[in-house]
Amino acid sequence: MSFVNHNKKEVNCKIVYYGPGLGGKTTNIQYVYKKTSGDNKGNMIKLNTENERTLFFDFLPLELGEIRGYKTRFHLYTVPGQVFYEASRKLILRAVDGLIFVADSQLEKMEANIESLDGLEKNLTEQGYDISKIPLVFQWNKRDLPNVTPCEDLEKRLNKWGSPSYEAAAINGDGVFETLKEVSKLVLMNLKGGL
Amino acid sequence: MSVEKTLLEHFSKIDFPIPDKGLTLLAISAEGQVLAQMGEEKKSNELQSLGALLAGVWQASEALKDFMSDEQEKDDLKLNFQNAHSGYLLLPPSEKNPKIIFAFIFENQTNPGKIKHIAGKIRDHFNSIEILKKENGEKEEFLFKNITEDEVDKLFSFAGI
Ligand SMILES: Nc1nc2c(ncn2[C@@H]2O[C@H](COP(=O)(O)OP(=O)(O)OP(=O)(O)O)[C@@H](O)[C@H]2O)c(=O)[nH]1
Ligand SMILES: [Mg+2]
Repeated sequence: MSFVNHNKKEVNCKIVYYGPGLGGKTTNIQYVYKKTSGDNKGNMIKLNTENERTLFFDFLPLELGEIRGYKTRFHLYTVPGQVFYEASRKLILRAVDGLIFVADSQLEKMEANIESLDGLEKNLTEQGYDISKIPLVFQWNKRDLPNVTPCEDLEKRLNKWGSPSYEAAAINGDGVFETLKEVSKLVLMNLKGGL
Repeated sequence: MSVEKTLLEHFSKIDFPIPDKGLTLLAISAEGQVLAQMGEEKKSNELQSLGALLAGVWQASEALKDFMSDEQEKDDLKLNFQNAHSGYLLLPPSEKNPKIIFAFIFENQTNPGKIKHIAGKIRDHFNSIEILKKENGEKEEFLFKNITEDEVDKLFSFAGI
C-alpha cells in the first residue's frame, strides 16, 4: 500500500518483481542497486539460500528525489520464484502498488512463465486485487541468449491485458531501468491520497 | 494531525521514559513502513531496511500461526530474538490498531527485563486507542494527476541514472 505523508511531503510505494525461478528478478534489482549513487543508495537486503536463490525476498529502498514537492521513495521487492515458496510469495504481494513480471525468454521456460503468471493472478485475486487494474509491466528477459521465444509469442501467451512490455538482458542492465521507470510512472499516476 | 505526530504524542504519555541510548522503539505498518521512531535514532536508510525486515519476520510468524491448533494460545503472541543484553522484541497488532506493529530494538541493556516492562505499557496503552483512523473522504483523489514522461525522467536522473 502506498504511504503518503502529507506533513513530511513523502510518498512511499511498493513494487514487486514477480516471475519464475532463475528468471532474473534478483539480477534486476542488483543492477538498480549498482547504478544508484550516493544519497539515493539504500541498503540492499538479500534473504537467499547458499546458492543465491531467493529464499524469502530481496529488498531495495530507492530514493528518487522530488515530484511536485513530494519526496518519492520506492521499495523494490523480489519474490522467490521457486515453486515451493508459494506461501512466501503471498506475503510479499501484500499491499503491492505495482508489479514487474520478469519472464524468462528461453524457449524451454514458457511453461514455467505461464505457471508463475497463473499463480500471480490467483494470489492477487485472493488478496482482493484485480490483475487487470493493478500497474503491471512485463519484462522479456534474457534476450541475449540464442534460444529465445519471439516477443510476439510471449505477448500472446502471457500479456493478456495489453500491459506495457520491454525486452531486457538484465545481466547487462539492458531494459532494467526502462521497465522500472514504466511501472513507476503507472504507480505514481495511480496514487491516491489526494490533497 | 499526522500519524507520526499522534504516535509520538502517545509514546510520550507512557509513564516510563524511553532512554535515548540503547533502545529504539518503532511503530511499523503491517506493510513495513516505519511510521514513527523514538529512543535511539536510526538513520533513514536503516529505517527502511528495519521496517521491511521486521514486517517480514512478523508476517512470516503470523502465517505460521495458522499451523497452531489451539485458538486461545494464538492470542497475545510476542516475538523475541535476544541474548542476555541485546536483541529485538515485536508486539502483535492489537484489535484497535490491527495495522501497527511495535518493535523494540535494544543493545547493551543490563536489564532487558525493563524492555518487556515498557513493551507491556505500550501494549496496554494502545489497546485502548485507535491510531489509524481513515480520514473522511480525503484519500480518494489522485495525488499526481497527468504526470508527464518528463517528470518521471527527472526522478530517475536524480538517482544518477
Ligand atoms: N544470459 C542471461 N542470464 C541472466 C539474465 N538475467 C539473469 N541471468 C542469470 O540467471 C540466473 C538467475 O538469476 P536471478 O536474478 O538470481 O533469478 P531470480 O529470478 O531471482 O531467481 P529466484 O530467486 O530463484 O526466483 C543468474 O545466474 C543470472 O546471472 C540475462 O538477462 N541474461
Ligand atoms: Mg531471486
